[in-house]
Amino acid sequence: MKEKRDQNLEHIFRKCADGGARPSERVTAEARAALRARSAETVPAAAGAGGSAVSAGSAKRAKRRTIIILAAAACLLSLLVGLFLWRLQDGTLPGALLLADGTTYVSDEGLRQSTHEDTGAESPACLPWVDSDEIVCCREYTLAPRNGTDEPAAQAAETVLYRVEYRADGVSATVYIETENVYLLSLGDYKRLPEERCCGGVDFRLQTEKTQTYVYFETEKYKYNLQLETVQEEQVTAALTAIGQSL
Amino acid sequence: MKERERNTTEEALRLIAAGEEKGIDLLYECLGPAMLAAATAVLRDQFAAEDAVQESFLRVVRGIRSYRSGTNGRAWVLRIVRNAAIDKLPDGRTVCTDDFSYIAPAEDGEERATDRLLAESLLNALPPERRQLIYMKYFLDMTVRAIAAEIGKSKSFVQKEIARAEESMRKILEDRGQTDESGSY
Repeated sequence: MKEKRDQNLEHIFRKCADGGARPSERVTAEARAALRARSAETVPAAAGAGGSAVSAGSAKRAKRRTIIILAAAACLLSLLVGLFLWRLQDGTLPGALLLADGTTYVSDEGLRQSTHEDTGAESPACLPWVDSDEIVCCREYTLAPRNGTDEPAAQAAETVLYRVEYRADGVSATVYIETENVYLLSLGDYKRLPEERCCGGVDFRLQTEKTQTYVYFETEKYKYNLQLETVQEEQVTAALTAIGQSL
Repeated sequence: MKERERNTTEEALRLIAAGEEKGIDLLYECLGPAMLAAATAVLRDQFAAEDAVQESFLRVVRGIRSYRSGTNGRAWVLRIVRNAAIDKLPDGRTVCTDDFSYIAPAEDGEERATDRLLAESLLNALPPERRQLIYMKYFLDMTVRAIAAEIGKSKSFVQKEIARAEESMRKILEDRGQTDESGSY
């Protein structure tokens, strides 16, 4: 409700208030500058649906906020994946992690032994440089069922890892063969062996330690993690040559 | 005259909201003296009051989006001025009592001086509490609700006090022969 005012009194007081001294014009300077700065920031094309202007500053802030949120989400995701992989490798968290590109990282606990054959077992096709009569022990592994269920993982039925012990040319060896897109976390050190050597068209990475020589190489379908029970250069070279010629 | 001023103030605020400097010019022309008067009444110092007015123009620009178009623009602006002036009060002066007598007179004209003398005489005839209420209502254009909130009293109390003050001022004007009917004083 409009408040009642005495017109005569209002006239007297208003005339007095509005008829007083005028401030210096400099009092508007800062306001003008602020208005100019605000106008410069306003992007006319970015007017909202209700006609309200969206300033470039707001747009920038929103963009910056989005970038920060995305970066934070990416960092968090990396951290979680890293933590998960670390726990898998550590053995704290048994199981396998299937990434979007089809790669499966698996810990020792995420594997289940599916076959176990001893001396005279048939040499798997992925091990062409070893004859059956040279095999001491051959085991195949599949992915273990998911925790708390009997339901097998996607690749449970397939062999994802071979572990073969054999003795050829007087040298005992153990080889872990990972199938395509499967990485056993405990074999990660093989992929980082320092010495590189090419033999028979195959690129090897190797390292000698005490009485053993560790070798890593890969083909299109398999990744080989080989442990030779020798450090003699001739025997190592002979083993690598045999491998290179067979592949 | 009041309606014209209201429209001008409204237009000034609309222009400022649209980012046009002309709005500041218009506001300065329309409310400049009233703004300085409101600041001076609080600060009682012409130079400090100008600083407060300067700050007020800035606050108007920054806060223009909070102004609801079509409401009382004069009251909104003068409220900003008064708050800016209160913020500039020296330490220790936490209670604000606007004092109209400190308002600087215009330098031009005998008529202006007469206006001021009449307003002063009317206000000085009132007890200080009622004088403050009249100042808030007629100089600052505050509503009864806003005044009640400002002084922490009920609306009915404020209405009664203002009515009594107006009555006594009308009596003074009648005694002087300066009535509403004459249209002048």
